[in-house]
Order: sequence, then structure tokens, then C-alpha cells
Amino acid sequence: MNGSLIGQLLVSGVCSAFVLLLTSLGLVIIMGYMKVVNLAHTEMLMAGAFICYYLYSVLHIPFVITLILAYGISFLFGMLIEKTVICHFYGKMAETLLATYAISIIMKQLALIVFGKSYNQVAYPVSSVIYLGPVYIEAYKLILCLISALALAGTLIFINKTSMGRKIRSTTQNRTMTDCLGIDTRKVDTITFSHGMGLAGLAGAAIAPLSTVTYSLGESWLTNTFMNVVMGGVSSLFGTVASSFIIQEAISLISGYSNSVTAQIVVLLVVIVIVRIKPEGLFTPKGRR
Amino acid sequence: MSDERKVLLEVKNLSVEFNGFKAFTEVNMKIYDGELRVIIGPNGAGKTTFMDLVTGKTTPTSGSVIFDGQNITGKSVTEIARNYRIGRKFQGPNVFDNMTVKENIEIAAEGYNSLTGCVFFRKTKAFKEKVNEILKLIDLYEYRHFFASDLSHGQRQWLEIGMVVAQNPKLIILDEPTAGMTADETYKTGEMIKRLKGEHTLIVVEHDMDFVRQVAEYVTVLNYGKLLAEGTMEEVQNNEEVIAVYLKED
Amino acid sequence: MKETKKNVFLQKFRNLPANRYIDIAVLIFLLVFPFLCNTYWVYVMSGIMAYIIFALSLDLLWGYTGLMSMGHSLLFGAGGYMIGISCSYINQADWVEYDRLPWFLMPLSSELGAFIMALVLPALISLIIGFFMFSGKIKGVFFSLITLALSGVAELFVINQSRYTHGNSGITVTNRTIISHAKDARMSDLGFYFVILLFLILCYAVCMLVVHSRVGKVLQAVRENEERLTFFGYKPSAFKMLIYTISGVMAGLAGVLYVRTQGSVNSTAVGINLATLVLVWVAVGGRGNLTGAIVGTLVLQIAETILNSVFSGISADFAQYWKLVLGIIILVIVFVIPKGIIGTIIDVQQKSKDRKRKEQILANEEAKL
Repeated sequence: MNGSLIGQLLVSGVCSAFVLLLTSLGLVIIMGYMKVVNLAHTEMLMAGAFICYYLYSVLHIPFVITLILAYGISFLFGMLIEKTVICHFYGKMAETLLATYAISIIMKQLALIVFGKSYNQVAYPVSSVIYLGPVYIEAYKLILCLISALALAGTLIFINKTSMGRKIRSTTQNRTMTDCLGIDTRKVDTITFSHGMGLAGLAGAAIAPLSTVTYSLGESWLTNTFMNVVMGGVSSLFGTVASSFIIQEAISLISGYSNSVTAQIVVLLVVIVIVRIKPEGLFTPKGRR
Repeated sequence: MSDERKVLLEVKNLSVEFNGFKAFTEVNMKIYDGELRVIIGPNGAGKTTFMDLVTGKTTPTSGSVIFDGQNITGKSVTEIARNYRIGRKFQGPNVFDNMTVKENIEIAAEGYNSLTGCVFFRKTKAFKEKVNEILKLIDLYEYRHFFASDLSHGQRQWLEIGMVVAQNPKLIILDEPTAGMTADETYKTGEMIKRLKGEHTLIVVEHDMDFVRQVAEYVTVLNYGKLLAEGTMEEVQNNEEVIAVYLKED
Repeated sequence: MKETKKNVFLQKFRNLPANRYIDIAVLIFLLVFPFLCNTYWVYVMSGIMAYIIFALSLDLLWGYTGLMSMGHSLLFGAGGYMIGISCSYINQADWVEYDRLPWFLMPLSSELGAFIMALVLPALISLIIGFFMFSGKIKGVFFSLITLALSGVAELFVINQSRYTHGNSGITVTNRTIISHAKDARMSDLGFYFVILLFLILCYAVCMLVVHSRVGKVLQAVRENEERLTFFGYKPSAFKMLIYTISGVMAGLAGVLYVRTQGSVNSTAVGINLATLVLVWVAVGGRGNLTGAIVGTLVLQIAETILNSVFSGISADFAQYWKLVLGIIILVIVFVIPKGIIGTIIDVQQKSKDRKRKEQILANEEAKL
């Protein structure tokens, strides 16, 4: 093991961390602000990847517009799901899990039936490679980091600076009181859920060039995104950022020495030990319940 | 009140802070064996905090809780309930909803709450009789096969009182046992509590002043996390400070 | 005297909850079934019975204790793979390249050791996971997510360790007995069917014993209100670890039986698909009454098999449509009867009993006045 290899592993770990952050963001928002565990999240990633494939690779729509459209379409889909299914099960954990699981298999099977078992490739929008001394990095991965950072920043601004964001936060804090203030909390729920789904779709579209676009794409993200949520907790996005980095750097370094499966196992076991010590996730502020 | 009686619970200089907010400040209090103590105080006076401290739900920032001659400060809820036998009834009825009334009482019953105790538990005749006795005390014998969730609000309150009694604690803490009850139900609860008085030491936290007058002999008044006054109902009622902060609202 | 005893018995029989009649009906059905159909169905039903044991083990955990494990197949597969690895090692399957098992798998070099290991390993896994999760106060949904992640990682692990697990292809277990690996030790389909039925009855009995004991009641109280229980002097984590371990052993046993009847084990046995499928069985049947787990598994698996044989002539991709239907079934269940089929039946019965009791109480009160 030499320095440049470790450097390479660290850099690719940083890129993967941004990707993991992007792919978990929607899940964390829905879980943190609505207490809903959205098992359909990873299938939304898959759907986003298909949107990217058809809009960008088939219809040749510019990549940036594809991303925006992917967010928009997923947002609308999220709205539909929330209005028809999710809104009936607030506060019921088992029912929510079952319902979102049902949605996830329906989405996956529909994708299988419609698109078949085809493996589709999306070309890199930017194909150059950047060299930083001995370490190289694909330019698209840098762009992905940027997209991830923008999605995070956008979400933070949306939640903290806009009036809708204020409503979302107040609904999370005290639903009854927010209702009494004349705010339509049902609408707030819809927006929150749709935004989370929109982010998932965006993430799916953004990662499409990195992976093979196929019906089972969602599955491969399931473990890592949920592990990320468990470790980072859901009460602050900072926790998600930090745990994305910890998880991906660890996986990247360990898989450099052995293989990626061992890395995942080690990291998962470490996560279990960590949540033993900090049950609410790594970065939950302490306070009176 | 003679001080020669045995002290069951003593809190010494008890304080607790939450993120800089002083919920409970330097409180000293003694509860005597066999006593029925009523604690009153306006919202935010620290009544619930007091109960959390005594039952181990909250760890004090400083000070100590002495129960039956032993220091129980900082011990876990389970340990305090099991080894020191302090029972607590919560404010809103806090029972096991999708279980029958009888099962609720049986779960609470003393002596079989360790894992081995549960594994080797046998329903003896004495056990059954005790459960029935408690069911009759709380007037739910006929409702014993109903799910707790199907009872009325008042009945659920009684069920929880019954569960705490089944625990056979040395000290029973009741948090607003009459909350949400009709006048008749409140009166019946008062009589129930009076019957318990001989056998258990009780601390009752209440808002309803008529109820307090019905059961109270010795009253402690809390305000802003501090001890404001202590004395018989009459003394407290005539205490000017108490009148100023609390009783005038009545 | 004899007459009254009989009457008391009849009275008790009449007062049974509705689902016990269904249990009896299912038992009779399972006893008669192999004599009414062909060998293929006997083989299918043997697998379904192993799945029922698996579903029962989840019901103990989810239905009674409220711990929704989304990775229960981890324990099922752990049991199955112990048999698979042991069998391929002892019989020296043609893909086996290693000479010795690693030290922690040494018990697998004997037949009985493999069976014991298949029960002990799931117990150990659940005990260790349980220790970390329950004493660390991990609640509700986090337990579900961690078990889900564990199951997902386990699937990758099994594929990765192809030296012992034969990777994606899985291991073939050619014999059909409980303990022996000998190639000629092959029970008849019918004989083995009844062996599994015996195990099913045994597991059902264990479940009933646990559920109706004081431990079972405490577990229900954990489900209802864990914090309240601590104020009665209980330590919920100990009870949760106990039931998780019991459930783990049962899931491991189910895995063993499944592998023995179906003749192979592969990575899907530990994966997320099976883990969520068993949740669906229990949810459709209704959780927290044992019968639901049995009926849910039975109905859905039989339906799948029948539909499969009907549609396989029409379309080769039956499985994908079936999963789609399964998704819709789950949605319908959570919308229409969230308590599941059996749960709803029990509810109706309980309500009518309550009504009668209430009338009785009111009548008594009037009589007093």
C-alpha cells in the first residue's frame, strides 16, 4: 500500500460520500420531518435513472434540463403517492412500512414488465478525467459532488429560509398548534413528501451515468441508504452529511485492502455498535424529551 | 405532625436543570410512612419533575433522594420499581391498551417481574384471589375480559390505579388521578384513595381543589420548581404566598 | 359425573376464540392433504409448512412483541446454509475445493453437529444483534431498518463467500432426512411430509406455550407500552432478547426443514426478498394470533403455486406478475383490513362477546336498583 493508492481511495471515498448523501437526502427528509420510513425511496432512484436514460440518452434533452425534469416528474409522482396512500397511515409505523414496501414492489415489477431485463447505459455528460498529481478523478464525479452539494444547499435554504420551509418545521414540532394557526398541514405533508421523492428522482437521474440502468438498480442502494439514515439519525441533515462521509470513506478504505462486501459488513457492524451507544443517531442534540 | 414517625422518602437539596432551565431547585421534603401527601402547584411548578426524579426517570443535577433509608439517586426506573417498590400512576391513563383488564392487573402484580420470575411463574390460587380483590377494589371486576382500550376514560384511570396497587409498592405516587373524570367518578376515586391510605404511603398530585379537600390531610405546595409551603390543608389555604400564586385561581 | 365433565369440555370448546377452530381445521386439512393429491403437491406443501414455521417465528417477534424484523430471513438462511455447507463438505460435492472447514464451522463436519449448529448459529446471531439493539434502546423503526440492512449485507456475504457457499448457484442437498447426509438416506415424500408436519405441530405448541405464559403477556405489554413496563420493575430488553433468540432458533429450524425438503439452498434464503415476503404472509393473515401467520402463508403460497402452474403455459414471466399482484394485495390489506384476515375475524368475535357482556352488566345493574 503506498501513499498515492490511499490518496486515490480517499478521493473516491469523498466522491462516493457525496453520491450517498445525494441518494439518502430524500429519505432523510421524509423520515426526519414526517416520521415516515419510505421503503419506496430506492425504487424512486431506479425510476429517476430510467427518466434520465429516456430523456437524456434517448431524446437527447440537455443533461441539466433532464435533472430538473427528473425532479419535477418525481415530485408529481410523490404527490400522487402521498395523496392516495401515505396520507392514510400517518403515525402507524407498521402500516406505513407495509404500504411503502407495496409501492416499492409495484414500482419495481412495473419497471420489469415495461422495460424488461435490459441493461441500459447512460453516457457520461462530461467524459474528461482530471489529474491531481498521482490521483485522478472523472470530471463527472466532480459534477456529481456539485449536484449533491447543491441539492443539500437547496434543501437547507428551502427548509430554513422559505415560508413553506417554516411551515414544514412547525408542523414537525407541533402539528395541532400549526393546524390551529390556519396552516393546512395536509398540504405541508404533501409538499414535504413530494420534495423527498423529487430529490430521490433527481439523485437517480444524477447517478444514472455511473451505474447500469435496469429494473433492479434500486435494490443495490437499499442497504447503504438505510444504513446511512440509521447512523446519521434523522434530526439534522448535518448528521446525514457526516455519516455519509464516515460510511463511504470507511467502505472505500477497507475495500482497498480487502473487498467491497467485507467493507460493507464491517461498516454495518460498526454502525450497529455506534447506535448501541447513540441510539438516536450520531448527531442528535441532547435534551429533555 | 410529630417528627418521630418513620421517614419513608426524603429529598435533600434536590435540583435538576434541562439545558440551563432550572426545573427543580434545592427542594427538601420528607414523606412519612403511612402518610397521604398531596402536592399542588400551578402548571410548570415541578410536580411532574418531582415524580420523574423520585421514580428514576430523570437524574438530578445535584442533591439526593433517600428512600426507606437507602440512597436511590441515579438508579434506573426498573431498579427503583423492582427493588425499592415505588409505584407510579401517570397523568393520562397509561395502560396496555390491547390487553384485557385482567391481564393488565396480572402484568403489574408484584414479585414476578424478573425474567426468571416470569418463566417460572405459576398462577396460584392466592394470586388469582389477589387479582380479583383488586378488580373489585377498582370496580372493574365485571369488565375484566374487556380490552383496556374499550373502557371509558374514568375506568382506565381506575385500571391504572389498580395496576399500581397490584404492584404492592411501599410508596404510591398518583399523578392527577381524577383528570378528565366526572364529578361522580372523582368522588369515587377519592373514596378509593382513602381506602388505600391505611395500607400504603401515598403521594397525590392534583389540580382539582374539591378533590384535594376530600382526601388531603397534609399538603405541599410547589411553585417554579421550589417548595413554597407545607402544612395542613387549613394552614396552606391561609398561607398568603400560596393564596397569591395559586389558590386565588380556584 | 362423566356427563358433566363432557359438558364442561363442550362449554370450553364453544368459548374458544374463533381462530382456534381455524387452527384445528388447518391441522385436519394438513393431515388429509397428502392422501388427496399427487407427489408434486406433497413436495410443495412440505416447503410451505417449513415456511409456516418461519412465519410463526416472525409472528412471535412482530405480532406479539412489536419488533418488526425486516431481515428475519438472515436467521432462516443461517440455519439452511449450515446444513448446505455441512452436506457439501461431507459428501465432497464436485465444486468443493477446500480440505478443512474453518475452526468456527468445525461442528459441520459431523451430521448431528450440523443440525445443532443450524439451531445454535441463528440463536447466537439473534442474541448478539439483540444485545446491541435492545440494551441500547433502539426502538421501533430503527430495529426494522438495521435488520433490513443486515439481511441485505448477508445476501452479498453469502454470494461473496463462494468457497463455502458456492456463490450464486447455491448448494444442492440431495437427501431428504433430518440429520443424515448419506446420499441414499432418502425418505419418501409422504414420510418426510409428516416429519415436517410433526415439527410444525411442535413449533405451534411451543408458540402457544410462550404466548400464553406470563412471559408472553409481558411481551405483549412490551409491544403495547414498553416504558410503562419499566415502572412496574421489568427490564424489557431481557424479554426482547429472549424472544428474539427463541424466534431465531425457530427460524433456523424452518430453514433446515426447507432446505431438506426443497433440496437446495441459495442466497435468496438469507436475502431481503424472503425477509419481506414473510412479513407479507404475516400481515395478510394478521399478526399477533399465530393463526394469521399460518393462514397467510398457506393461502398466498398455495395461490402462487396454482397461478404459476396455470399461467406458466401462457407467459414465461409469471413470477413478475405475481409479485405485482402481491404488492397490490398488501396495499388492499393495509387499506381495508389492517389487522389481516384472521385478526379481523377475531375482532368481530371479540366485539360481539363484548356487546353481550355489556348487556349483562347493564342488566345486573338494573336488577340491583
